[in-house]
Amino acid sequence: MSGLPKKNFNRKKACKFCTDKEMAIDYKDYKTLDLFLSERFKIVPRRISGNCAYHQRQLTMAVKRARSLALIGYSPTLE
Amino acid sequence: MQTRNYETVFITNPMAPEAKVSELKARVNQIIEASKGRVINWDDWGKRKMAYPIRKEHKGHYFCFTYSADNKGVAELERNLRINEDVFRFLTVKLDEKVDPLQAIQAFKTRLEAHAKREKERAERDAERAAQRAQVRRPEEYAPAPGDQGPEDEE
Repeated sequence: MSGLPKKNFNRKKACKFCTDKEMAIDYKDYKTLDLFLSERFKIVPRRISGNCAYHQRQLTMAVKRARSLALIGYSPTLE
Repeated sequence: MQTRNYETVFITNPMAPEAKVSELKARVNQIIEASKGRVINWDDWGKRKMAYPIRKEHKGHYFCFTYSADNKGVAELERNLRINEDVFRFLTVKLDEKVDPLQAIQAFKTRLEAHAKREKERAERDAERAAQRAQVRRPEEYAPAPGDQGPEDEE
């Protein structure tokens, strides 16, 4: 192959919950959940966050629980 | 009847009188005891801002408690919370059997503390940086910038 080295686009991201033992998924811990929400309060997809399927499933559940308890919003508030 | 561990979070009206809230708490305790369970831990998160208004209130009084009960106890508890007018929302979660509830609560609290600590550190760091920036910028503001000394028409 000639030219510039090809950029590796499929670099494997590590699941944060698998690598960091301190982190846990809990619907009450809205500050951790906040790390996985977009600007519009959407859940960041696995393809972006790099979470594993197991933890992404748990995260989704936790975010939805936290939303119903008004710990995190469904959408950014208009102010 | 087999008992299991559950955790319930409920939000009450922040305007509700103290007496009504403690009455509700007593009621909850009574129901749990009646179902041969016990309250393992009772936490009052206090009145805090909600992410969105519920029943036109911006604040809510949060309670979170862990307990053991049978399924009928949980149903009775939820029925009571549903009837009570001061309760905005509630959520009951079945806890993992393999995890000790007290340990889980402790872990949750230490995580909260870690968040608070990190936030405090960040606020301090931001304040420090803002102060530094202000110091650096000030001399520039008063000194005339190069090339800004009027039109160059000396010919």
